[in-house]
Amino acid sequence: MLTLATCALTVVLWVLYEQVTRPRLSVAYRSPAGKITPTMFSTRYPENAKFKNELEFMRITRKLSSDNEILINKMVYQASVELGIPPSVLWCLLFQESRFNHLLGLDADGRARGLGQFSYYSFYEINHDLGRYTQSNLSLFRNLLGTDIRFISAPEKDITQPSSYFFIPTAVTATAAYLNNRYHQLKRNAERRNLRYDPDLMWLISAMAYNKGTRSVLTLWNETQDRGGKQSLENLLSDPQAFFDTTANTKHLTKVFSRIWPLEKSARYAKELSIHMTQMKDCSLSSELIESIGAKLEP
Amino acid sequence: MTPTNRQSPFGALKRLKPDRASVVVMTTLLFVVAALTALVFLADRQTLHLTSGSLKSFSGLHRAYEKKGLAHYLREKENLRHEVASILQKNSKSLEAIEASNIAVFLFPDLLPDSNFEKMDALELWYPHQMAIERAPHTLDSRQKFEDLRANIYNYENPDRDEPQLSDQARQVIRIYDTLSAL
Repeated sequence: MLTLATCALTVVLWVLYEQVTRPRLSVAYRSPAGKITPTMFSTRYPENAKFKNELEFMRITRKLSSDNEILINKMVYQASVELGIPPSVLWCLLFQESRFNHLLGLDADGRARGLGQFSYYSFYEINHDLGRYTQSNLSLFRNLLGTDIRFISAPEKDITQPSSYFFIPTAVTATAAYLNNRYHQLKRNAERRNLRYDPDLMWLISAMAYNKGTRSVLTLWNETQDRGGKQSLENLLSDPQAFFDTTANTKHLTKVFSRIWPLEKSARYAKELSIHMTQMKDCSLSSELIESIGAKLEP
Repeated sequence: MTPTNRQSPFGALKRLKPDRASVVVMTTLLFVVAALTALVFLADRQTLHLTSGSLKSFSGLHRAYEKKGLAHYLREKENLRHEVASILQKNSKSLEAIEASNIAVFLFPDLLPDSNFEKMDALELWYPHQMAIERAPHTLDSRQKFEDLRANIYNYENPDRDEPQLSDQARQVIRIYDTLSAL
């Protein structure tokens, strides 16, 4: 009897613990201006069953500790509210880049480091040119971390110091700032030409620039405009179906990127980007929108 | 009198033993197939290559400065600018035009049409730095400008943060201004 009661109590406590430690978000996020707006993004990310299962496997195998997951979720939410980023976009970006291994690259020869896979030049922008595109980045570190902890780097020792990119709060905050810079860089490009665009979709386009460089995005914009005029480009920037059809078309992306790179590299980058954007879609968009889009990768 | 056959390639082939003839035919066929394959492969690569004599000078601009100094470099750069402008004005879609456009992105962004989405970022992220370096090369300030220019170009173009990559044009521009700003 005592054993049964102990087991029952353990189960109840475990359920309560899970309920408390998993943050629940409202249906729509509140922008910095205080307005609640409807959004195309999921509030229960990752949306896709495959990623949910993968996340659960990471928890079971201790590849992702409960403390780290709580900390990442908390910082993602805070950074998102501060900068107006859809939380699922930032969360899914970090998940795609590193599978939440905040020490990724610490003992490796590759150049990319940490949760957001920052390179030397990513650090350079955050450390030296943080406020180039938006003032909101300038107060970000102080508001989230209590102080401006820059000069950020990826040291091999003292990795828990606040200025280390291997420190989770710093990694999430810096990644959010970098993504925010891409967003504002692309947004002003569109607005200077009075192009109609969907602000939510622009965040996904920013994720594209984060992954493959702003030049890949602007080259696609140039090609789309050359081929189909302003209307075709506005369609790309405002219709999720058109956007994901384009990013799923590796042959088309290869042709676009061949304006910059040799064919072999173009094909490789096109395939990588296509996979990345499909995963971002499946992870971050609401299930209703994913079903209505129905874009698939080319065979 | 024995009639003689007219000399012809096919007649010559007929006089060969069948196994020699088939070797010749197979070898010829293989050569043709190999040549066609190479042609298709090269055409399909769409590798940008310097077709215009003046565009070729782009790859040697840093040496122009090293060998004969700033004034010579600026003259060579101006000549290249005229050639790029001339090609861009034709508004064609040729490989040469694409290459000229890519050179313009990193060296002459003011020549790009206003409709080009890369123009604005190029005019802000590296063009002013290049002007500043040319005005006062080999100074601490020029070196700082170069560090900013290089970071901006990498963040703008690099598609692989783990193994950073740059296009030939971006790489050459970085080489030029690395040379001009060296301490």
